[in-house]
Amino acid sequence: MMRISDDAVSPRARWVFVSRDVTFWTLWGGAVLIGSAALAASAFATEHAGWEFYEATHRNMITFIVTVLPYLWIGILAGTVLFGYFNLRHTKTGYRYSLTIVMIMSIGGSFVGGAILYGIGAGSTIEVMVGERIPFHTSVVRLQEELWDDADEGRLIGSASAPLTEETILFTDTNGTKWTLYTAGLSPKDLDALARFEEVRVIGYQATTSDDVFYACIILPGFLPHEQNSISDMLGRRSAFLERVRPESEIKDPAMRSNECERVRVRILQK
Amino acid sequence: MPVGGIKTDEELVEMARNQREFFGLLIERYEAKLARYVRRLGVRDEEDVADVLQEIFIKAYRNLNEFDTALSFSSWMYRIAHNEAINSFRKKRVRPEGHLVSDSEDILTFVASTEKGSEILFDAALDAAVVGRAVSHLDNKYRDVVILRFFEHKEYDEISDILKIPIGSVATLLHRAKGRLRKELKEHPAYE
Repeated sequence: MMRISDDAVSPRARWVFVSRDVTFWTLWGGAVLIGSAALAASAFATEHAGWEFYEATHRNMITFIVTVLPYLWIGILAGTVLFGYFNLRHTKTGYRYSLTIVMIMSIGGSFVGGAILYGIGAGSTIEVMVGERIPFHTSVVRLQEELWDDADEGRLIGSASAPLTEETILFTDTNGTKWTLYTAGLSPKDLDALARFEEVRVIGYQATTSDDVFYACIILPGFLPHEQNSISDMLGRRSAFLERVRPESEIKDPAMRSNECERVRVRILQK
Repeated sequence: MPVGGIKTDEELVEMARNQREFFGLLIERYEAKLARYVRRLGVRDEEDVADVLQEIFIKAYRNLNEFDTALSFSSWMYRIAHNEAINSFRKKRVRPEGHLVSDSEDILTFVASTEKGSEILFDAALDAAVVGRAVSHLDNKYRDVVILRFFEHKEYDEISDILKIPIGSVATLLHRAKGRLRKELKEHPAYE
């Protein structure tokens, strides 16, 4: 007591302790919010990764997953969970929560927040916005363009415009390159997809004689960032794709089916 | 409820916030208990014990507004005492070695404890000094919970508040501490 009196020790103000606790809770809340954004963006990136057509772009599912995993968001989510854990543990009674409870609170909070953000369409905004600003993060939009805008590998993504002849249309890819697209080898379903979707993916092959001529063998829906797909939608697209690559798939004119298109289909089926 | 004018710790804290003198009553209540506790934690020299105690009470008084009834005042004081004892070891760069050998009565209570896992100690009929030494050899994390549980007679929730760890971790640490003690004591000649 003497030392307390001699040194004129006095209790620190209550606000000092309250504000410290509030700071830790706020930082935890911030971590959950950033985690929510990361989850919403991950959900969007995963949904639109094009896994329904992975055989068209990759050797197998593993190489596809390695390419499309949203590493940035996974890293951010892991970081926010750790940061949230640290801050929650440093709140006044945070030590009482077990590791499981803290993880459930942090990850569960991010899942709830992520579901809400994803539901209101913020997942695509975050993914695209961050993709445009952070050089080492390839957004799912850019990734799809990189994967599908590759005529050498027999893939194009873009939109069809005016018919040029009965068997050719003008096609503009996402880089703005204009192509003469031969459609004679397409089935009615492919032609329907070509007419129905504003943006389409084209599987085929490039003409050896001309740089801007592409022979279409299969038409698939393009990148649809504004659509939220249910699992059944995606499964539907997957089965439509598999049906489209089967050799017996109906074509407009069997005589027009080129050997090259057969090879394209066989190559996909063999994966 | 206060009976016959005796105030609870929490009431004294409230009064001490406005009038410093009431803190003296809390010091009187806790001085002996905390001195024994810091000795058990390994502060050996009596001068050091006095220094650590002084720091504990100054820190407690300075942070009096941090205390609220989310935990007991006793747990709060023990927490400060635990932290100050560790600070003292850090300053002196020594490894804490508790004075448990002298706590013969508590050690025998520990030995005779009906808690699961203590039978082996009881059956071995080891003397208090042997058990005390074995406890002293435990890692700090195990020794801290053993001291609080068996020497300070704290409940699991109190230990959780003092050491700032989840109650589940208290149970786990105690269980492992007993296992390690059992292993060490089995190797003692008296157990044969």
